[in-house]
Amino acid sequence: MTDRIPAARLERLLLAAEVPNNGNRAVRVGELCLLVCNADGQFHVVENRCSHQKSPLEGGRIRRGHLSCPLHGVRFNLSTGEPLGALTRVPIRTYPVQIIDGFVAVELRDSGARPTGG
Amino acid sequence: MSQAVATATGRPEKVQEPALRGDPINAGRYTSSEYFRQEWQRMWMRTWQIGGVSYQAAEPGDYLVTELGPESVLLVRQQDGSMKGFFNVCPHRGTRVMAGDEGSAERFTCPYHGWQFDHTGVVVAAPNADDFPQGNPCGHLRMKPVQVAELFGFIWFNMDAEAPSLTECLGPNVVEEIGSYRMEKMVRVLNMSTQADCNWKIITDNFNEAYHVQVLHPELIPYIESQADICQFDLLRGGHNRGWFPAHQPSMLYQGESVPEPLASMVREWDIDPEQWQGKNRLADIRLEVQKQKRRLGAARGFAHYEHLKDYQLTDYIIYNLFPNSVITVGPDGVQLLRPRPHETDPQKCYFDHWWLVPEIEGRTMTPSPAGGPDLPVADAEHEFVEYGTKTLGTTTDQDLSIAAVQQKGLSSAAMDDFYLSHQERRVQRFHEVLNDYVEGNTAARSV
Ligand code: FES
Ligand code: FES
Ligand SMILES: [Fe+2]
Repeated sequence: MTDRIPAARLERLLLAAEVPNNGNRAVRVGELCLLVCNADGQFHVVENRCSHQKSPLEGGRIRRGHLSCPLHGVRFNLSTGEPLGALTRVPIRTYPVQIIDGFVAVELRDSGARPTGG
Repeated sequence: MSQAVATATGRPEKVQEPALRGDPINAGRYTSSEYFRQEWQRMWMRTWQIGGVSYQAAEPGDYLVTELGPESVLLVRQQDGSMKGFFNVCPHRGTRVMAGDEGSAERFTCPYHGWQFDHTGVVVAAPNADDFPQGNPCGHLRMKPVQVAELFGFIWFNMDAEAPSLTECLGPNVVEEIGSYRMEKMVRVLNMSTQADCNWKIITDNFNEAYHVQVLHPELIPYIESQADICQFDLLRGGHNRGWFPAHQPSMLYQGESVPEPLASMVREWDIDPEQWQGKNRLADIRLEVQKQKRRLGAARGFAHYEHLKDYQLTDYIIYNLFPNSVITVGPDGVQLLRPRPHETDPQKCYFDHWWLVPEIEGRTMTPSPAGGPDLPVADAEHEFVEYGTKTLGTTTDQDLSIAAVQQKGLSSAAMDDFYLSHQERRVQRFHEVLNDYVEGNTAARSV
């Protein structure tokens, strides 16, 4: 409501059809590195950076709505970002997803520098 | 009434049981840290354990991590489709290499100094690899291997490289009988664990006898028999045992004349009118009628797996207690794993797992839950750790666990003498005698 909160804009990341079932694709938006995940037909967007040792999460296996970090195997809940396992308690950032004209889109503020979610 | 039913309609073949020695069973084995340590080294380190479901690691590079007592084991699908397994321990300075419970990796990377291992467990990269005066670790240091096997749709492991194979340990009858349920085609729709305030053997003992059922689980009376003179209990080679419970008929403890619930609903599903089966004599035959109807209608209704089952398997429950702790209960519509696992350090605590696997049947997206509560989606379930008491683990499981902590307390009492077991509890006796064989190093006796 105040002018300190910049207007949100919808950023179309890629076509949903480009992400295979239980696969993921990394997308860059300005400074942000995002990961678009297809978990059994449910789309999620998370930060493409593990909260443990900052490794990219791209290529991690998705099962039952969770993404496994390819490096040490921490599993993240794609809806909440919460980790499983002993290595970290820190969640990864998640972004509310909309599907618009077949595109996976997220709401970003500040020219993509700061997300609304997570 | 039911006696005739049971004998007339088939049951597992009665086997020649090994003689019992009558070893005293005392409370110390449930409470003592020294016994816990011996049991770990001489028994747990030498027996076969279920690590997970085969489809959890379907593709090369897929892995799962499973915990047993103080150990963690990494199981990995190989390029050629076989499985290998390792102690999940970095040979550099001991860190657990993989921290997640399942996933996929081209290489395994230790989170401490970054040593990397290939799918066969061998070190293939290490930072500053030339800085080791005793030689570059790459190519010769490795995570220590464990034995691995796949059977019944499960991945099994044994930390003893010298142990006999899994099928040798189970024997051909168990392999064939459980195999007839085609569990490799099933999906795990329930995957729960909890921690219990008792030694793991308190739970094993509970599954090794049905003497408590009439007291603790009276809700089973309408549709499952648990009376020892009708059921059949067999001590099997290698410390395993089997219990056969005719079902889809009321127990001999049932007093009524009409078909009780939930049996009435169960038979209606197979186009049997419960009204037609009133009276003691008619009731005694209803189980046979269910078998007939399942044979007649099963295949057309998508129950393709019935084809591999014997008549009694179409109605009855059979519990296989595979030494030491894999309790597999098979029924016509699914298979349960009910399993205690030892605690890392504390003899008076354990973990308890409850899995439920069902065949996929065309047109069925939901299946009744053995944990009570709402039906479950027929889909691979995420693991759920339940704080004991905060949520049900299943009616009968809750009833059993309600006893576990108070029995553990009593076993710590100075007043407790050796157990005083009935004949129908002889599977408990046998289990402890085989455990003694392991702990005392009596290898010849334990395989009888
Ligand atoms: S960097 Fe992802 S688990 Fe360690
Ligand atoms: S402990 Fe694993 S690399 Fe050092
Ligand atoms: Fe019980």
